[in-house]
Amino acid sequence: MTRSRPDLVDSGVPWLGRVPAGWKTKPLWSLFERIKDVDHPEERMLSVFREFGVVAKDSYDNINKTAENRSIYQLVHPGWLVANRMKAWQGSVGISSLRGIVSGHYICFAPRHNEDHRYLNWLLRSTAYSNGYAVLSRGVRIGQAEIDNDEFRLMPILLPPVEEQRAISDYLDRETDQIDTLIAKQEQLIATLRERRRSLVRRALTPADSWTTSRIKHLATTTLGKMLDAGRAVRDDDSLAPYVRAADILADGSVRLTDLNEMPFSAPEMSKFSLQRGDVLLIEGGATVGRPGFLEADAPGIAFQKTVNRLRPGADLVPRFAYWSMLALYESDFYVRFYGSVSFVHLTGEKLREISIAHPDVSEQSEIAGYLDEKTAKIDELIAKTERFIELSKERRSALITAAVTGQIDVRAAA
Amino acid sequence: MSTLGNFVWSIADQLRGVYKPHQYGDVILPMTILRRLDCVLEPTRDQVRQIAEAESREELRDVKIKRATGLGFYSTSPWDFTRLVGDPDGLSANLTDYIAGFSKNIDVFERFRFDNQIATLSEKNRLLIVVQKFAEVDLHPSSVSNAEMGDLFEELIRKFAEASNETAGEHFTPRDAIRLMVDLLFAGDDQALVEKGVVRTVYDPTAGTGGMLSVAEEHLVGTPEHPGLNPDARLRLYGQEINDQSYAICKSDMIAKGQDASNIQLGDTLAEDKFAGTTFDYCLSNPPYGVDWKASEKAVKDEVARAGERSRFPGGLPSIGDGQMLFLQHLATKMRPVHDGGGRAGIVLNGSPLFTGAAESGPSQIRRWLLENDLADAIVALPTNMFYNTGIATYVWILDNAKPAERIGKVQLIDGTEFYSKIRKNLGNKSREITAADREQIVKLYAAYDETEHSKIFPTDAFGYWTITVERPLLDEHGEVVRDRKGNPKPDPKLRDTENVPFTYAGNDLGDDGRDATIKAYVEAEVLPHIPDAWVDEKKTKVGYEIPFTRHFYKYLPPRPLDEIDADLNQLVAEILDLLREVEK
Repeated sequence: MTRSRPDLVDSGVPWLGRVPAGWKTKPLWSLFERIKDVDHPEERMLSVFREFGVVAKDSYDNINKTAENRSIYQLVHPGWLVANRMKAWQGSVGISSLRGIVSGHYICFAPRHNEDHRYLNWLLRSTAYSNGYAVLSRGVRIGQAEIDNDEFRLMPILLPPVEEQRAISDYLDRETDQIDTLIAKQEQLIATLRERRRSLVRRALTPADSWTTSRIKHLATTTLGKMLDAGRAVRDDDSLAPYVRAADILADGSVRLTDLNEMPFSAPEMSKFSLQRGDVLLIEGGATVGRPGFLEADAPGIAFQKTVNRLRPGADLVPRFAYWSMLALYESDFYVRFYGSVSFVHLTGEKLREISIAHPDVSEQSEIAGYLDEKTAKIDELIAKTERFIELSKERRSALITAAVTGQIDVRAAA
Repeated sequence: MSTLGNFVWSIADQLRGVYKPHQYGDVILPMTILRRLDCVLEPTRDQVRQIAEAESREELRDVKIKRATGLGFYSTSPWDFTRLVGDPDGLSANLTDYIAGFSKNIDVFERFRFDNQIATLSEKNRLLIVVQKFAEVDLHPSSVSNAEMGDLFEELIRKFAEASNETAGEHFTPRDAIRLMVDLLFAGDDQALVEKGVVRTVYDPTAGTGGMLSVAEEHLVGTPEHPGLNPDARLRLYGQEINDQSYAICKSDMIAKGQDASNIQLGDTLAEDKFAGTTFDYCLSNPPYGVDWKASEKAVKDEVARAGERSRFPGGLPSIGDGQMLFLQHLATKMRPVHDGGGRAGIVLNGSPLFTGAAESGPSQIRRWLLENDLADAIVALPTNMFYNTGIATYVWILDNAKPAERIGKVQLIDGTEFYSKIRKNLGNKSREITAADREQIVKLYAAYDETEHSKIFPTDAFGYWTITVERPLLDEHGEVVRDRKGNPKPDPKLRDTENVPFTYAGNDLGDDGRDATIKAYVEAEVLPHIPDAWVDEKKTKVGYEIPFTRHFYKYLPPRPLDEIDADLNQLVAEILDLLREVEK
């Protein structure tokens, strides 16, 4: 239980809100001196991460490559402030606890104060300060705002007494460690539930002796969608129609039918590329080749494109059973294993028609499909709740940090 | 795309193989314009031919034909589309003759270099079928109004621009952005504009294909089917354009509307103002962003050297890499002078002119000139993803040299970034549009002139600041202050720093006149408590201006209270436990 303080007053800074009466603010420039110390190519490589602050670069996967010429990198020491000017508003700021070199594009400051380094790190990386950086950042391109040092140096640094700074740091280290442990457990739960779901599907589709194995071409019709040709001139009888493409087949097995791209289709094409209840749509290529989506209802006036392969079940194949069978193939990496001799796997109509699936009679198919629908719905709901729990835990973590560094929580009693 | 637009563009099918897609416009656009002129001239063709046969003197012929037809252009050639199609074998020569027969002010086909296209089409056996196809297109004014014709051009040009992958911000401004700017531009003058027979001038120094001029006319005069504010008004359209092809398109369109052909001029506006000495009631522009002005540099600097404060660039010059702020000043100086009734201007810019440049840099001095002369009336932030080939933030600036009393000395900032609707299919980078309803909301904010979530009003001084130089004493090896011969402390260059002091700090409402007292108050409150030995070198103080638009509209979302989050978490835990039991069944 967190205890509120009664002695809060307006800080005078909109994004800081109310803070304890005895706390001071100083401009950043009075606590840190900007320094650019280059030509240390042999030093350890560091980076500023949004999630973690200043870390050793080899500790984390990073798609950003190290510059060939490390001489332009800047040396920093423990206690130094490092900011990525273009991402400060997204949280790429931190007090380093390490000695090493960082990108020449960062701005680096040596400490000229006697405050607690850990406290300043929590403070400068809090949501309140991210808002502060965002207010002061500017840019011409969207999402590419940059904070100028003239503004950054004026950031008001909120300073409780040093012993209270240490208490806040200790409190936050302890509390965030607990939250992070809890989040890790929840993530483990989700991974286990997903494994359980896959296992459930696989077991339900394990063929009994009475089952038959048939190729898809004997159970269903398949159609590859229309070639995309936006640049082609429109023929007289064509009209624009929305179409489903690979990106509209969602990970949860549903098909998005709104906000679709459009292209010209003739009337015969609209018939050929129709979508109706019970169709199973398969992604035709790429990393998610073969992932299925299921059409819950007819979709008149909507067609599909050649990144989508449509499987329309015949009389001997129950649509939902077809969906689960195709999902099981996808989840077992069937396509990558079976066709993976080339770099980009395509699920052509020909390949799709030749795939064999095991199936019982129609009534048992319905039974199995119904069972899987019910069981997976429960797992999916639990996963969604757990994801929401993680989301709220992260929100709590951020709010807790901001509350602590702005003095909303009285850590003197909580310590 | 409209049915008509689809049909016209489908003629490009005939060009496949002979032309690359980005070249289709070289044929489709001039042919469309030729067909339009053909249709417009059809009712008066025989009459014109008779006058031409009877009158060999060119000047008199022009006058007589103009009086007889009411049109500003004509063709004396015996050819038209019907006759051209009737003589397939002589088509190439006859088409060339047809084009050559137009009056002198129809110079657009030269600018399209259309002779070359005719030769290519003929050689590749495409000419006849293209001409036949265009002969089937009905572009008579009775079927296709001027506004509809403008929309058709816009569609074709957009197709052309998409294939050409033009430079960001160049080439083409979408109609919805133009309509908003036109509405804002005329918004302050609604009363005067509805007077019977009112005459106004409108000017675009970066006319492109004339889209802005067309929308202005549409707004004020309109058409019989869609009347504007004042169908009896007369709006004279003026423009200058540097690009041959865009010029050709713009001029053709203006001619089709019955405007004076000489009011569209070819040339680089920055280097040479073809309308020097002329001012206008309304000015509009969407200049290129982030494009250098090296090619115009000598001419611009010569003008400044020659005319100084009376040049078109009285505020100064921006960095060579971006010419937007030259156009901004150009527009400001082309507004009708106050003593003649005053003028207004609208210009679309990216974010740079709001804040680039330190105190006393070119851009800052230009902002200073605009604000100190009270020429900036409003700045409206547009939704992003508005333009065909750029995804950047854009702003409409409205300038006014004769503001209504309540707007004097102030600037209104309007955050219009949320007033948009999604369009059904993306057009390049354009995935949003400003509908008539969205536009109305923004114009209402402008006219209401209130402080709201989306509209804020500032005195011009609110954007000014002083950059002061803060000095610290130089210390010798003993830690003692080093002093000059007069006993004053010497500054340490390594510790020298600058601070920006807003004009409005501590409630100063005297602008630059409050300099000494305000800077003193700032230093005492914000600097000396941290470095008591510091002082300000007053000789180095500079005045700067910036408009930190985003800052004034940033929506700070504070974290939810911890108790509230905890309650949600506890609820979720209970639900998760129930669901776990369900899953295990």
